[in-house]
Amino acid sequence: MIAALRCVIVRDLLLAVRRSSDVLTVLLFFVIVVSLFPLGIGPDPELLRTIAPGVIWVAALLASMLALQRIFASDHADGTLEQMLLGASPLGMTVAAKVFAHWLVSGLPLVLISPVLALQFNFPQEMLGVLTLSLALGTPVLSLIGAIGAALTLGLRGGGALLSLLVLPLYVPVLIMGAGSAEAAAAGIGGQAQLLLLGALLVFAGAFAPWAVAVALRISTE
Amino acid sequence: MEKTSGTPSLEAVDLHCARGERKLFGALSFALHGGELLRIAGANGSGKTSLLRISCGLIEPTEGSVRWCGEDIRRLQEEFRRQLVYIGHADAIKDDLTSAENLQVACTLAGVHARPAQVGEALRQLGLARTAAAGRVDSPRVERTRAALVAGRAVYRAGCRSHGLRARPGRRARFPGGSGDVYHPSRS
Repeated sequence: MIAALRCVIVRDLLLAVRRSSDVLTVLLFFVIVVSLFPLGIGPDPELLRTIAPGVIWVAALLASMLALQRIFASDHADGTLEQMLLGASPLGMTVAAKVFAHWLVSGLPLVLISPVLALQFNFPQEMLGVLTLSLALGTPVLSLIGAIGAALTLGLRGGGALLSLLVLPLYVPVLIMGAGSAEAAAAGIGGQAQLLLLGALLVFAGAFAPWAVAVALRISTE
Repeated sequence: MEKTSGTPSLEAVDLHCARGERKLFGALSFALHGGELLRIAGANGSGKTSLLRISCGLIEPTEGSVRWCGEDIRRLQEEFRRQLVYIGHADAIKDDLTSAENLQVACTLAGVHARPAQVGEALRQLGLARTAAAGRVDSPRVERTRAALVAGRAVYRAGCRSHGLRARPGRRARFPGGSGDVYHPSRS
């Protein structure tokens, strides 16, 4: 079973490498959206520092939305998904591997580039760690929750718009905790509470989302 | 030569299938023993694909059950799926992966551990050695179908004995708008 999980992860990463334009689109979208704010709002260092965590988090949310549809779409189109449904390992495990690979490709780059982007906002350097950590804990939750929506809207016409309506409200707790942790850290009261809550969300979503996705996939492939 | 008595390998018991409001078929039963082949013919929309998907557990029948060696497939779950090779309308071949990678993935998903050497050998036997060495699956349809065949066959071979299938008409299964023939293959 471990071999099957590794195989799915390696396969998805290989596909991502061979279609690197998809990965770069999401990353560039994130970079551009975040960079638009200092340009639009003006060079007020105090204001920029205040809005930085919120802007980066909202941009991360939108970027991960952008990537979501791809998570099952091509496997659905070419029949690989049916083979996964009929595979020898439990569907929930296969889904968990796919979501993990998806996060490595679409979430991890955002986490890694966020400290650089935060510098544009005059964000205090000693707080960069908190912001990055909050994204590292939060973006996998976004991928996990988003995968449920992606599975439910699989094969629907106009599924993209529906997916955003379905998933964005569910992202709200992650956004509040994520942006809140960096804000609290910048205000000097420490973002530990929010980070712990984000961690709890991650554990919860990691344990239950794959099974919800598995059920959703079975429903939408009927 | 064929064993047609005893517990059938694959058995459909009183299957009913409705998609939405429309009733596709009802009271459909068949039993297949080892080495038998069922061909199902029917008009468009009469439920051939639905029957195929029901019998491998992709969708649930409205009523009735499918049994594998006497056990309901809903209870067997992965145990049944490990012995199943499903080749559907979509061939599950990724153009961005090489034939060898496609085959390796198909085997792993089916729970068969295939070493790279075995994969290469399987591809060579099917005349796909060139694509195995380097490059992705060539675009023409033929190549895709062959690779799908490879994937299916390799899994099949690993899982059970290979039969030489030579069609010989046998019983007929009832199917609205068409018919199903049960073929008794004889070993070649």
